[in-house]
Amino acid sequence: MSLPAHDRCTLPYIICLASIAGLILPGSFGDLVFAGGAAQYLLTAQEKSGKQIYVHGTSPGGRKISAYLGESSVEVPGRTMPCANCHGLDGRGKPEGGVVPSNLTWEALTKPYGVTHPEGRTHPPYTDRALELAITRGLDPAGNKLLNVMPHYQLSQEDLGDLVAYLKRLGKDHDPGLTENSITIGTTIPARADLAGIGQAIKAVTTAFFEEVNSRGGIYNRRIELKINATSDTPITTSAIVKRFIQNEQVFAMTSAFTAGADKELAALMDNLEVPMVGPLTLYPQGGYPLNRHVFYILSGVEGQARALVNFACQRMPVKRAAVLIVYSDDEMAKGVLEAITDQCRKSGCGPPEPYGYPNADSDVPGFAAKLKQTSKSVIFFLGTSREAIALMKEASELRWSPTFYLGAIAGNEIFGAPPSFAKKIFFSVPSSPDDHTRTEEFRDLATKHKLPAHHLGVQRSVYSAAKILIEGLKRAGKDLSREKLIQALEGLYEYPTGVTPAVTYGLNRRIGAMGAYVVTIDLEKKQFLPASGWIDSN
Amino acid sequence: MPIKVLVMLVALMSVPGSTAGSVTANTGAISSLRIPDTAVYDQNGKRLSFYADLIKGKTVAINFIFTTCTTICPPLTAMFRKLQQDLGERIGLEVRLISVSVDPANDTPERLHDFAAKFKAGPGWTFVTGNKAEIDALLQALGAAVGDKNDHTPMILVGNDVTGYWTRAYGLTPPATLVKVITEAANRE
Ligand code: HEC
Repeated sequence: MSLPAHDRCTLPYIICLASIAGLILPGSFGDLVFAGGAAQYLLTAQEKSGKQIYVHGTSPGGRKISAYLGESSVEVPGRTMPCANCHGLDGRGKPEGGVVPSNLTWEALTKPYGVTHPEGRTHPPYTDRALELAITRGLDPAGNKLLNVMPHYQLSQEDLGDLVAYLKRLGKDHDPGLTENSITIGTTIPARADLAGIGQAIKAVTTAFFEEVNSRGGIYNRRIELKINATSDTPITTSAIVKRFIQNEQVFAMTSAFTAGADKELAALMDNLEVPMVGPLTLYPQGGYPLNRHVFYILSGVEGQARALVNFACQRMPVKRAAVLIVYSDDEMAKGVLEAITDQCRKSGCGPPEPYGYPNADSDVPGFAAKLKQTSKSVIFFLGTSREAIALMKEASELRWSPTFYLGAIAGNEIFGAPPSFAKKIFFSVPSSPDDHTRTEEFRDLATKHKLPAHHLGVQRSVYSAAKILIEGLKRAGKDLSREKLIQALEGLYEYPTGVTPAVTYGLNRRIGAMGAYVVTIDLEKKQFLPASGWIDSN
Repeated sequence: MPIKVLVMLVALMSVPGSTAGSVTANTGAISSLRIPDTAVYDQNGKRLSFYADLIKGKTVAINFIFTTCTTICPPLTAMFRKLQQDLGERIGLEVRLISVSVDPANDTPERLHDFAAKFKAGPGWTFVTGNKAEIDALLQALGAAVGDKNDHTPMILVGNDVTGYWTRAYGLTPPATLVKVITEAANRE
């Protein structure tokens, strides 16, 4: 079996992206056009401020909010005790350990004949003033002392007013981008002219997928509406543009946005705006701690793939403890991978590796090869370009030395130019393989019906799987949808088959759906890639 | 191996906690407590033996939390934070604070680390997680086992390993009262 060359760049798209990701060049793009109409927030400015206090315990005006606990002896910042923690985003209360926070919806608080609680506490309906007293002094409208689990808050009169205004809307407002009959989903395409094909692929597949969903009645009678924007030329401007896009267009969640080149910034933005994002196109998933709850990646990035490669390599090594060499080019990309490999070597029991920086000048490569040979190690993890790898192999071959090469992030067609002595000695990893395409007919049908482009099939599959995961999440989140419920639904996905990627699992602590890779080797004669392993988990 | 904690004092057994409104410490000494030497991880991912590394020779206050519990655990943890401040120099040397996760399957050391940082937990206060079956057994031994983690009662276990005196207090007992309970446990003959 050989791996088909399904893209113009012949390798699975993620590797093609690798060469792109490093190339975010400034300049060259004009202003982006926005379709954005006037923002139609469902809440007034005051209610929005109040919501921030309710959900996050922080003051939009930057004023101090303190919470007092246990007979007021313990003061903590309001942000560690936001109301929503206990009363829930919907105001209905989250009972725990025998503690039952009251239902705070306005109807519940203002029942005309007052309220009698299960434990016997009775009080007349709440008024604005009564709410203020409950919040600041822990008293209900009848003057009963509330349980001491309910903190007392100290906050400015203005913040208190905002909070009370929001409490009257609690349970009735919903997240932006959500109406009775629609859900607005956004995506981001690359603006660069040379990446236009990727943009087309994102647009075409997502549009087609959502059209299918809508033609079957949408999700709980809500149509999916797609909004598209484009990246800009620096991570900072991209982040600013995507932020404006999300706010102006009222985007509920994002799907398969092209984040390569601005990964950190866009992930942080989603966290900040609390917008769930599924399947961003990137090589650098930000899946570490502290966990970014809002971004759900599908495939492992270069680090996860490198870890799988290490697991594979260590298993093949005759002497488990034999140290390995890492050769790296001096750039930012290599740094994270270097750390991942070192860490994984330790975990797999084949470390510690010795790192060597690749020489800056071509003329130094022969000497460098000789130096490496002297270490008498036989395994090299190589984190550089294919051109550099081949230059080193050629020198090694001159020295009659042929260590096994495990290539990190980058591979390309040039690798077929490796010297013959390295036949069966070159390996790299890919995050998905044709074996994962268990339900390609579904994808093919979509392609035929919607006349999807014939290029960038790897990207298309990735976009398709993101849309599929998102829709599954929306279905599971239920009719009473919110961003938080979508996140919880996605966290519940276990071994979910997208049909075109390895099965996807998320969890409370997991944001990379298919954490692992396949190892691939190279047939230098036939110039083909050959599978060398099954799925290797790098979790 | 489980270590038998000898009980010097047997007083009225009461397990408070269900009365969430309780203001007093509502303490009750415990007649017999075996503290197992469970292998656990702390919030830094360090492997520890529960009894040998955390309990032996010390006075301790143990509470029970999990990081996705938002109603009751933040107040419990904020109380412990204040308790830590109030105990001042005694913390770490003579007295230790321990927070045991009742959701070890989800509470990785990293999650506990984030949680601890959020509440500014300092040295002498250890957050504990581990293998689910083993932590469940530990919780059982400490009298804090629950079927559903959401039903876990806000309880604090205070004890002195040297004398074998153990008592329970309501989780939201004001820290000033708790300091007294801890001091009393520490000074028991
Ligand atoms: C740590 C958990 C917690 C937090 C945080 C919290 N509450 Fe409460 N709250 C409770 C509990 C528990 C009760 C029920 C008290 C009782 O039954 O005596 C309650 C009761 C109330 C009541 C009284 C309703 C009634 O039944 O009479 C109001 C009003 C209220 N909370 C508002 C707020 C607001 C506003 C905030 C944020 C500023 C907030 N709470 C934060 C736990 C909490």
